[in-house]
Amino acid sequence: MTRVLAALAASLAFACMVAASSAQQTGEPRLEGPNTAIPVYQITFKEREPVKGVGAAPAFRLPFHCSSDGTVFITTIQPVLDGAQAKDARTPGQPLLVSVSPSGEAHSFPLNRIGNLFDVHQIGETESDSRVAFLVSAAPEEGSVNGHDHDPSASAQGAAKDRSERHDYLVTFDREGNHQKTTELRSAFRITDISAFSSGSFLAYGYDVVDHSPKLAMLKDDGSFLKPLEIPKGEAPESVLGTKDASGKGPSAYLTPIQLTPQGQYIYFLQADSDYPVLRVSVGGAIDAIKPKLPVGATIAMLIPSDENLYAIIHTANAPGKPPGGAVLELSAQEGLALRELRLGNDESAYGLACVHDKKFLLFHHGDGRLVPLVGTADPRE
Amino acid sequence: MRPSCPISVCVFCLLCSAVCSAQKAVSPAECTGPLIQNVVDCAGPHGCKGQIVYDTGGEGDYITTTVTTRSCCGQLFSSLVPTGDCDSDGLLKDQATKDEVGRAAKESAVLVADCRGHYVPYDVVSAPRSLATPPSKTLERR
Repeated sequence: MTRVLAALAASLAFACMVAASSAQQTGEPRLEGPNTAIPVYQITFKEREPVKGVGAAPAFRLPFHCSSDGTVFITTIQPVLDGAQAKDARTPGQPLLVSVSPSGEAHSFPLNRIGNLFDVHQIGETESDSRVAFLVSAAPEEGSVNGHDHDPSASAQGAAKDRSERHDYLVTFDREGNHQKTTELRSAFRITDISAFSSGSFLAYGYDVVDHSPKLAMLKDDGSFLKPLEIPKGEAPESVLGTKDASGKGPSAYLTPIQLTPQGQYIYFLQADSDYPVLRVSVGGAIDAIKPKLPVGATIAMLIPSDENLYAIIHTANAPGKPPGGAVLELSAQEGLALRELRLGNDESAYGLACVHDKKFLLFHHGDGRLVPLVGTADPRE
Repeated sequence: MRPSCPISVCVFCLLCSAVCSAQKAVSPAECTGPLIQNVVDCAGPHGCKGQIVYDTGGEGDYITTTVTTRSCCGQLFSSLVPTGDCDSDGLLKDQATKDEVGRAAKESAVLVADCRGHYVPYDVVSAPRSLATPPSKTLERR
C-alpha cells in the first residue's frame, strides 16, 4: 500500500512539473482569476471592404456603441477644414457620430443641422434599434437669448455671454440620420450621460450640483423625467469628483469616469478603474450589483459593447507581467466570472475593439483615407 | 497573478526598451503603449552619442507622463510621443486637427490614427481625464 501511495505521489509530482514547465514555455504571462488560471484565446482578424461613404477619421472618441443588430456607432473627430471648405462643413470641434452596419452601410448624425440650437456641445449619445439620441448642452434658438445672428463667431460669443441660459437637450434622429425631435431636459441633477433601454426609455446618470453625489434616474422615451433610482449604499462613491493625486487627498480635479453599456433588457453601469461593482439596471429600474471575479489588483477600465456576456478591458497597474496592449476578459453577465482572456495580435490595442456581436470581434483600421472594418474570431491559444 | 521572476521582468523591459528604441528612429508613434520606459538613442556632431531614458511614470496603458524636453548631444527630445504624426493618410497632418484631438482628449479617452493604419490610444489621453484641468473648468459646460 505504501509503495502504491509513493508511486501515486511521484506521478502527481511529475505531472505538476510538466504542467509548470508547459506554462513557462509559453513565454507569456497568463492572467489568473482568484482561484484558477483563465483560458487564453487569440483573436485573428480579417479585413473587410472599406466602408462606403465614410472616410477615415483622424481620431475616435471612446467608448464605441453597438446596437443589438451589430451596427457600430463611432464618435469621430473630423479633420478641421479651413476657408471655403469650412463654410459648408460641420462646426469645427464638433464630433460627428457615424454608424456602420454589419453589411457596411453607413450613416452620419450631424448635430449642426438640427437648426434650432446653436453652440451645441455633445455630452453623450446613445442608440436603440429605431433611433439615435444625443445629450447636448446648447444655447436656445437665436432671438430667444439675445438675438444673435447666424454668424458662427457671433453665435459663439453670444453663447459664452449667455452661458447661464444654456440648457440640456435630448436630440433624436432616426437610424438613417434624419433629425426627429429636440426636447429640453429638465432634471433635478446635472446629467452627464444617458443610455437607451430597448423599450425606448432612458437611463440618465449625473451628479447633485450641491453635494456632487452620483445620481441615476429613468427618463421616458421623450426625455421627460420618469423616476429616480436609488444607487445601493456603498456601491458608488459619495462624490463623483476625483482628486488629482489619486490618494483621495488634494483638490478635486476630474469627474470619475463611468460607462453605460446597454445589452438586451439591461444597461450595465461601470464605474471605471474602481473597486465598485458593475451595476446592472433593468428596464424596470431594478439595480443588481455584479462583482467581477478579476485577477488580483485588476480593475475594469472599459466595457466593450457586446450582445452577450461582458467583455472588459482590464487594467492591472499594480500587477507584474501584464499582457501588452490591455487585456480583455470575457465575464459572465450574471456573476462576473472570468470565462476567457482574449488577446489581440498584430499590436492591436484592446481599446480599438468596437463591438462583439455573434461571437465576432470588430475593430477598424484606416488606409488610403478610408475606414476599413476588420472582423475577428477567437480560438484557443496553443 | 502568478508572481513573475524579477530577472525575466528586467529582460522583458530591456527588450521592450530596445525594440522601442529601434522603432523610435523610424516611427515615434510605434513607441506608445504599455511600455513603462521610452529609450531614445541620439547622436550629434563630433561623434557625440548619448541615450535618454524617459520614465513614463505609469504602467500599462495608463501612462501619466508629463511633457519634458531634454537635450542630448545638442538635439532636443520631448517625452511627449507625437502619436500619429507619421500617418501616411495625412489624417493628422494639420495642427488644427491635432488641437481638436487634444481637446477631445480632455473629456474622454481617444483613439488616434497611427502611421501603420491602426487606431491606438492617444498616449497623453490615457491619464485620468481632465487631470490637468481645474475643477471649475472640468465641470463647466461649453
